[in-house]
Amino acid sequence: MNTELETLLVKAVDGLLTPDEQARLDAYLAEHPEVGEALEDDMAIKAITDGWAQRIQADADIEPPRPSGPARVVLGTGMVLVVGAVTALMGFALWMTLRDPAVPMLVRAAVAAGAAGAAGLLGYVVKVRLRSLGRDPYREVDR
Amino acid sequence: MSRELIRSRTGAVTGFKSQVLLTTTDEVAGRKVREVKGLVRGNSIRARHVGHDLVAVFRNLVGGEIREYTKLMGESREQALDRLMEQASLLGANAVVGVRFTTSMVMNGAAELLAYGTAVVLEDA
Repeated sequence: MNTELETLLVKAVDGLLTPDEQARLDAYLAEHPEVGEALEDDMAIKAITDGWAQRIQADADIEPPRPSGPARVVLGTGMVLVVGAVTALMGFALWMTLRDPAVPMLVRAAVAAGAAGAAGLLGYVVKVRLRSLGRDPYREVDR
Repeated sequence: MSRELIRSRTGAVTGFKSQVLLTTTDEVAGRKVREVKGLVRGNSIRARHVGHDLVAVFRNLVGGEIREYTKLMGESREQALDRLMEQASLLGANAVVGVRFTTSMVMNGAAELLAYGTAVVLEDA
């Protein structure tokens, strides 16, 4: 297959032929129908790959793989507010339980021990996570 | 550690280029197995922080892709593959054939991904 024909076929698949090139290709295909069949196969494959490329692009357009700056601010603020509120409420409930004289001393001691243990465990995992933050080689992966 | 990333045409990072040939088939065209080194596997259990879990819960309410967990699974998959390749490399293999993935939920919001296959030494046929 000569180089000019290859170029014409590739352009035909991509839909980039000029009218003059289209005429030359049509003339060649009239004499070589087997090339026309191969071209139809290539165009069918192109239609399939274009289809999934469009779906992937459409999906990325709905929501980019990495949130934009404003989206990150909204997500980050929301997370901090919710987690902060839950932590404050749990802390308040804990504090009220420990201060309540109606609660038996044994129960208060158990609650205090549990809270201290949980705080220690949480502190440890947070420390490890903070150390690894930014160094996790897998955080680059989006999907 | 710099590694070559595989990016989709939209710019999303979909993985790393492998240093060891990985294939799901048992045979590789044009090459033959000279030596079987044995089973290799790599697993990883990862979680996202509670903030992402919250967003995921809200996404669950309205539907659509839960991207927080898509990313979680992608990270686990790449880490599991790295561990599998490390084992293969330590055994002196240059390829892993018959690679399979399996997953299980260990706890809510955390997923295990296990990759396994057979480490082999391939040579040109």
